[in-house]
Amino acid sequence: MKNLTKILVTGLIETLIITGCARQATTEMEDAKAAINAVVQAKGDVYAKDELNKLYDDLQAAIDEIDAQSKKLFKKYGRAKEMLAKIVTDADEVKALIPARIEKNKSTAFRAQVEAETAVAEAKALLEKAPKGLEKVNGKSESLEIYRFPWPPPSASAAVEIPRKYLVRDEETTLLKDVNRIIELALDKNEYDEKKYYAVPAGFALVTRMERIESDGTPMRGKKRWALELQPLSRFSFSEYLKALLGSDPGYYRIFVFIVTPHAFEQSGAEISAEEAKEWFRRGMNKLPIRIGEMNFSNEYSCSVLIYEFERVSETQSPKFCLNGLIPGRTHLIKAGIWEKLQQ
Amino acid sequence: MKTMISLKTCKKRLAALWFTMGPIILLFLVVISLLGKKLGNKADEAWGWFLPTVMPTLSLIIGVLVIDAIDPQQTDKKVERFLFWLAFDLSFFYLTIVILTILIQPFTDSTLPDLMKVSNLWLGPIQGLVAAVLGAFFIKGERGK
Repeated sequence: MKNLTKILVTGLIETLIITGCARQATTEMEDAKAAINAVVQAKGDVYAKDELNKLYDDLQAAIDEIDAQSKKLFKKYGRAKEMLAKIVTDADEVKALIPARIEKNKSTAFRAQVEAETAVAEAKALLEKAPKGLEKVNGKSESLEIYRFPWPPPSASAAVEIPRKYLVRDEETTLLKDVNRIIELALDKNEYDEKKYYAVPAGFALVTRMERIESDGTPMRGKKRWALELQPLSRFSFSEYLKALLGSDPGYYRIFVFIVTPHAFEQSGAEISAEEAKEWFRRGMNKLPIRIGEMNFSNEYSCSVLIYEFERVSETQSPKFCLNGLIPGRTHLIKAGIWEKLQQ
Repeated sequence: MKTMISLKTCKKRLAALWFTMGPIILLFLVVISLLGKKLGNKADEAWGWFLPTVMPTLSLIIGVLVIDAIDPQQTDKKVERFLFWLAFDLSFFYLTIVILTILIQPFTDSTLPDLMKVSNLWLGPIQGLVAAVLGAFFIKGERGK
């Protein structure tokens, strides 16, 4: 009898120990979840995103561990409990980090706001200097808006300044419209029949149509020059055919932008796409507004030419802007025949 | 009386046709894919057109040739001459159109991947006919022994 009691008691103790160890970590799990919720409520999902994600990962790992143990005959939840306890500690640490981050964020946002306000003020000042673009047409009271060219201009592939002596016939009375006339003549003689005008600070920008060029800057001949899309072979030549078949002549394209302004400027660093460049030609004015043309081409004025070069890397892709053009700006003008005409 | 022709000869001629014209297209696609200027980022579209256009028939022919090579009891079976020429001419016509799709592209204003897409309109039905006549040709060949 004594032995039977001993066996029963020992069995009971062992059962208690086993069931104690095997107790699922319900309380620890609730504590861990509560700790994570506290982090979320302290805006941890905004200011401690990574840490919060790690907490969620750890929680999932603990749940997986509990699941794995629950399938075993002898269940051991000790490791899961340790994991859950660590989550609680980590969550408290993360929660403590958040107030400092909120403060830091506030000061960064404030600085950004100040910078944005300064930039807006500067842009407004520049716009004030630019022509308003309102022009009386044929003496009637109707007004005409002129688009402003992106200012400062986007990065160009090449640039060159036209010597003042090429543009000024009479130093005293030269107006912007006279300068425009000289540029127009040089362009017309080289088949740049269409041009578009934009306003820039105290001056104007003249944009030519996008043309296809050879790799040395010479404009393509015939229809190919102004065709921006893939052109079929118009006549059979074996070498041309082979080139077209292998796609070894995808194409180079160019746009000239003549900028006449008294202001020094730098390029903005923005790179334009071929679509944006084409848009310049679609939107601009067809002629120089009178109000801008009547401005005096004083000594402060200069005429810079920005050249935007594009290369079609493959037949199936649209042309891409070439930031570092292989041809210098002056060579572009020489190859296009413009430089020679300006000299005359 | 129907004029008959050796099935072995027919298979050899068909294999010669497909293995002459098929690799030409394959080689061209490899070259333009490597050069990169013709297809750019659309090389996968060109290969997606080529593989189902030529490879199934090439695989069929290879399969038949391999089975013939390992079959120890080969007999010289006969098939109708008309059926052979029908299969041969249709195959030649089909492969010519496939090659023309590529060769004619410089005279069009479409890119090669675009033209390949459009060519599926006529290549699909012709490929169906080629597959049908090749299948029928080999079945007929089996019965003609």
